[in-house]
Amino acid sequence: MPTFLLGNRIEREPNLLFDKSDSSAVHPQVYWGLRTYGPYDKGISSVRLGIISPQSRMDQVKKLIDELNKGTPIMPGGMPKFFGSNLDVVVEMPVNSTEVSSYEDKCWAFVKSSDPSEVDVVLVYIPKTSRYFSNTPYYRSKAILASEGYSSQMITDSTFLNLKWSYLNLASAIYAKAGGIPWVLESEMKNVDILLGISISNLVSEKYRAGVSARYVGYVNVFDSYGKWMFFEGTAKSYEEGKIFEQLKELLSKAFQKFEAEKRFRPKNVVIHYYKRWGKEETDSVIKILDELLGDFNVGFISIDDSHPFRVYDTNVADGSFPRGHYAYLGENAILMSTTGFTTIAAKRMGTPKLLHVVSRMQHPSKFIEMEDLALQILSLTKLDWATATPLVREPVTLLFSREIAYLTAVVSEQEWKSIIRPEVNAILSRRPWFI
Amino acid sequence: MSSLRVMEEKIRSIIDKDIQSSFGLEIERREDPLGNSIFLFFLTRNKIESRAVDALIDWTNSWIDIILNQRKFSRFVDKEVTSALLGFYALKSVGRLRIEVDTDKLVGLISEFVTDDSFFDNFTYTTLILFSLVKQRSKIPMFNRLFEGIRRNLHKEALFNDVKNLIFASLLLEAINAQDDLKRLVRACFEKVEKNAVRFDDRVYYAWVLWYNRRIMEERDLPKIINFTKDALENTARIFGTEELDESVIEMYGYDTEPEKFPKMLLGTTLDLLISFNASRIMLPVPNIVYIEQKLSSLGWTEAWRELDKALEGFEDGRMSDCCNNLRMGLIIVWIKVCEKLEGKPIPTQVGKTVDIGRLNKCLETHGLPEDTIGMVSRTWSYVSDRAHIEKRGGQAPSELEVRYGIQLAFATIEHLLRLV
Repeated sequence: MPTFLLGNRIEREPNLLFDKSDSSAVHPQVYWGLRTYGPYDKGISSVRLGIISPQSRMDQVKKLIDELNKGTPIMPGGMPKFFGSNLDVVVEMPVNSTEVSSYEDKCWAFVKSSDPSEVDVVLVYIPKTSRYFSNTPYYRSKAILASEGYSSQMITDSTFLNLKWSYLNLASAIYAKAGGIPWVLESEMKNVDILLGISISNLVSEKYRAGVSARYVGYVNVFDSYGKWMFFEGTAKSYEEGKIFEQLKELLSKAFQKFEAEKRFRPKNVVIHYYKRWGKEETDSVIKILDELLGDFNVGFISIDDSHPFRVYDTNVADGSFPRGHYAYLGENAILMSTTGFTTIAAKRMGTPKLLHVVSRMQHPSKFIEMEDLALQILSLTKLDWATATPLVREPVTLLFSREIAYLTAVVSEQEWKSIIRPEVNAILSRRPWFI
Repeated sequence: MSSLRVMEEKIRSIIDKDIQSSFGLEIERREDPLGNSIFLFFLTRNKIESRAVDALIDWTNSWIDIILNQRKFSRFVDKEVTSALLGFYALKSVGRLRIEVDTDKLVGLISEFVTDDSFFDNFTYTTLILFSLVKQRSKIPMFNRLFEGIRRNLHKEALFNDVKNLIFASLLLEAINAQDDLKRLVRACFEKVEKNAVRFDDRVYYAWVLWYNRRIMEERDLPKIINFTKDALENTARIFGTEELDESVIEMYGYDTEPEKFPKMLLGTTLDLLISFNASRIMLPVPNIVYIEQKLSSLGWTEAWRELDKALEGFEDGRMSDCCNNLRMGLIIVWIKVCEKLEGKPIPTQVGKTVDIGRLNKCLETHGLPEDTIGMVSRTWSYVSDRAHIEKRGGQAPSELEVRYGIQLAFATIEHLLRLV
């Protein structure tokens, strides 16, 4: 017996804003927006770079920086045009070998001889390794530098193999990690004051941990109503299993306090994205905590994942894909949404779209955000990954950023995590997406 | 130059279309009120009239009422207040403001948005608000403090990073008559031009600052400013034209779905500069017109420049005898003033009567000017005077060719006279 699903679509691709004091600087495409208007935040004229690289690659890295400054056929005008800034190398530190221990030694030497207030981003040339191995130059360098307050950007051989298309993504990530805001949404998301991409109970690396019992950390990325990433907060220390309430309380208290200080208003409409299914204990805990922290509030618990067997096609579309921004209702509070199907904003697509399963698990005390607004919210958030100018990004930035940190927490030691979260480092890193 | 004329028309048309496209779309207007005010500022400054401009003026009047009087803000209060104030300034400047705004209440309103030494913690908005309220500054207690905040930022690199701030800052400095700061700012722009440190897309903004402030620059810098402005405007045509693209860009990032969309600030600035630059096009063949303007200004002989300026305007409008009359007036004022300066005493004149030319000739002779040069000055005076009095020509206006020659003669003569003092 055939089953019929109702569907819907988002009519217009959300616009992005590329100038904080010129509301006419809008464009739906990241690449063309940056090329026409430059970045949203035009206050950074120079990004100070440190370089850690094998000596044999040092010239190649410097040439790359030079080209980023001067521009390329894909990025005419280079960093100055696209991001209103120049890259200036302030420290160079050659590595003797590509062994993990060499990178660790050099990173420690770097942090001991430098000051994080004088270096915006450290560019590290590393050998290509799988992200599923923990003891690699990538993770060890990232962890050591972050634990001392440095944002880092890794480059590998594959960066150079695909250099033509690497420039802009690299430039955008460097600019964001230096504290710049490349772009935000043009319009506010409906009925949202604060958006949280939360992750709790992440196992800390066993290899780098003393003791026997499993330890967990939690963290949250905070976004404003324009989808602008504001800051990152993590639990100050690791927890034992089952301490969800404490983790959540610590995270949410920090997040709301900081949000209020920055925005000068107390948020009322809170939306929380989670890449796992919300459990009752988790939702109950959050509501209890928000009762204490905010008093008058609405909260929406949204889970977004792609672990489902569904595929949807559209025979009316030339390539048969389910177009971007189209979605099918699986129920009153659940949709399957396409973010990488046919669209006018991109020419090239890759395969059958892997749909996002979006579930509004609960809205408390009553429904304050419709499923259609939620769909638009999630589509909008796919456009805010500052690490790429690619027009088609499948996941919303709330999930992407959480996932990036999850990879890191799995490989950093408890001590390193504590260092990253300690106040003097947090003051620098919490406002820079150092983990992307 | 004809290509710049074409470009001026093209940009006017883009702006008209942009304004018309939002007719009746209240939401869009609300989303970009600052863009609308920026358009309005540049359009009214150049006395441009059209249906679209009328609609924009109507909208701005109601916007001012909604924001400044009724205080109906959304979360975009920074853009809303700034845009309403700039609109207020623009309409007031051209006598099209139909809304009463109480200054005391206005001061109360803006006071609410002061954080440390700025409005909304934003340099651009602070500059624009102060510029818009410069005439009311004596009634705004925090004006000077906020202006000092602007001054402190004038020489920071971040100012040059967001080029639209150069325009607003120079407008503010000029409006407040902060000549030293303005000179420093203009000089800093010029140095960047000299070092070729100005990005392609930013050139028109630098050109705007240099062109409008050319009078405060050294005489030797002027040819460079003129050439830079001309090149910047000609190159800007590429921004508004069709760009040749690497095909792979489209494959990777898709077609630009909004190729006709341009920053409103860029459109407004370019149009403003084009109008001013194009209007001066008959000056350009006269090598030292900028010298004359600057010299008259420094001597305080502004009435002479006013006549010359009107002469050029008359020529532009096809009013040939008016042009000659203004040339004649400009020349005689300069001639008298030069003689007074050389002799150190006033030249006797009678209201309603032409000054004694023989007396002026004598003065020049006394101060060593060769006879044939004096003859040229005299004959130039006669040439433009004859063409100013059409009643003596049977009501026949002089031809464009004759007047063009008269302009060249008069300006060359005035330059020569000015170099005597």
